[in-house]
Amino acid sequence: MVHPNDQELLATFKNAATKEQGFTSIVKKFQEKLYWHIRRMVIDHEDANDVLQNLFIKVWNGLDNFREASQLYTWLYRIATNECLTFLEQKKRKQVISISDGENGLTNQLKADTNFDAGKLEWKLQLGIQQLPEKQRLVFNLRYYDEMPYDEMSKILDTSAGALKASYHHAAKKIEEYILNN
Amino acid sequence: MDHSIEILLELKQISPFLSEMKKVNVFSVPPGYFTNLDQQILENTLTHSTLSLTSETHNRDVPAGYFENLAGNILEKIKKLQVTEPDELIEQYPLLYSLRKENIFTVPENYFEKLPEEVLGALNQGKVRTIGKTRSLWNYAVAATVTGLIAISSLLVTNTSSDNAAQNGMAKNTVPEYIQDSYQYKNEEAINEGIKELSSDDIIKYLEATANDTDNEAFASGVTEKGLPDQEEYLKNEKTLDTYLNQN
Amino acid sequence: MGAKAQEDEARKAEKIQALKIAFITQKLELTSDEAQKFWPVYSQYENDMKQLLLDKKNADVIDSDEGLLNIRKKYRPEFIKVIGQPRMNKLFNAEKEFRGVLLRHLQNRADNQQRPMFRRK
Repeated sequence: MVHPNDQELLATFKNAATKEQGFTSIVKKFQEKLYWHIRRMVIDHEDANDVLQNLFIKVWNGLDNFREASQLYTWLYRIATNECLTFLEQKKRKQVISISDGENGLTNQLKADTNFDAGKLEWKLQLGIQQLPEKQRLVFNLRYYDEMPYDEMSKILDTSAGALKASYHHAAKKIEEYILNN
Repeated sequence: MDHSIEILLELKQISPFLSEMKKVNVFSVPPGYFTNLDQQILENTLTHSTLSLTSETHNRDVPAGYFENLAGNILEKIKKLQVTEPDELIEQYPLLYSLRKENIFTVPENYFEKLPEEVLGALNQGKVRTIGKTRSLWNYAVAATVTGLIAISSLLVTNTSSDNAAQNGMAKNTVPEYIQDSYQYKNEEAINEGIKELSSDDIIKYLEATANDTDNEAFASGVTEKGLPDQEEYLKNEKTLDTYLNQN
Repeated sequence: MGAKAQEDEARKAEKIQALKIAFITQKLELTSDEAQKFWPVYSQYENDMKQLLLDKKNADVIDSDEGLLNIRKKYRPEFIKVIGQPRMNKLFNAEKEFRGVLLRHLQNRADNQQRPMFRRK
């Protein structure tokens, strides 16, 4: 499906008569990319849906002030990322934290998935990703799944492209090591 | 796409193993989830956007004393809610109502030794009458205690005809009323339903009467539930809380 | 305030108390045997707490914090005896949680939405 470009989307949204239409067009254009970005971080579908909803509420409220200097999708990914991190932070606070090496609550959620198969590479990959600290997880996901250029990533994560590149290298190596040893 | 190849080559250099792995999506999504998602998101957004939020830039710092004052602020605002609900307790708990004046509380051993003398003294002199908040508290105490003496003391204050019954000792009852009452709430739903039957006023009085320092934590974690403005929204606009709670 | 209004208040407070008990019972997963032994102990503990709240109005914050701690320490052996240490910890959290649940109900009324209030995770 061909979606309208950023300019058109924003124009439709900023026009009071077509605001809702503009909004749903934006949602339609980006919903899947944003959903999967979030899902890969929070793992659970319901949680991802919650975060996605919150994200779009912020979009509705904040889009009028969007400085069109950067691309819409950069702005959206930025909010999505922050929403994820906030969500994960809140989740941590509410849980009783039992810290064992490299494990976190999300690992357990992965293992609880009805389709989980410890023998399959794709699941091992997910477990491997969970070995990484949050920010590194983000970097890996954005590069490996979204194939995002480092320049764009740096606008989303407020980190230099060089640092992100190094981070990605370390992440991939760690994940490889995990998979080969488990 | 050139870009994809670039990424693939990059990965191949770091980890040939990973670069050869097929990308398989392990996450399942409920069927039809994306079909009407945009409409559903619109509806959900419109429900929440009656809040008037200004769009200052996000600021993740929390002002000093934010959480300390939060509970107090919220309670203050909630007090202003104009919500009145009919009192159906007489209809719902006729037995309870009829037993209201019966002294059927048991007194555990050593109870009298434990109770401070001056409190009894203050009650007998009716000092409780003069202070509004304390009176609320004592009325709560009437309801809440299993053992009889505080309840009986406050009955002295509120209903002098109970005097004799109180002083002559109490009839025993194996399980106190309010504990028996608690059995009817067999699960989460029932508890939530039970709470819904309470008037906001009652809840506020109870919370005030039994307030303690641990409340800040409970309130803080409660406040950040989905659907409420989170701390960033508060920071965007001080009026957020007012606006939000005064929606009614 | 007339006698009837006071009775009404008492009844409402009792209802909230019953809800609190039900909440704690579920959170602690008490068997009926355990419940029988637990509630008398808990009621005494509550009475002590109520005393403390009364005194607290004028007292030094540090003294009342100490008071609260002392009451809990006093009842600790009995609690441990009837429900065990891990659940005793849960008990104090459950007390806090209940107040949070009440508050969320209030806020949700302001929010005008019907949403389940507490989810057991």
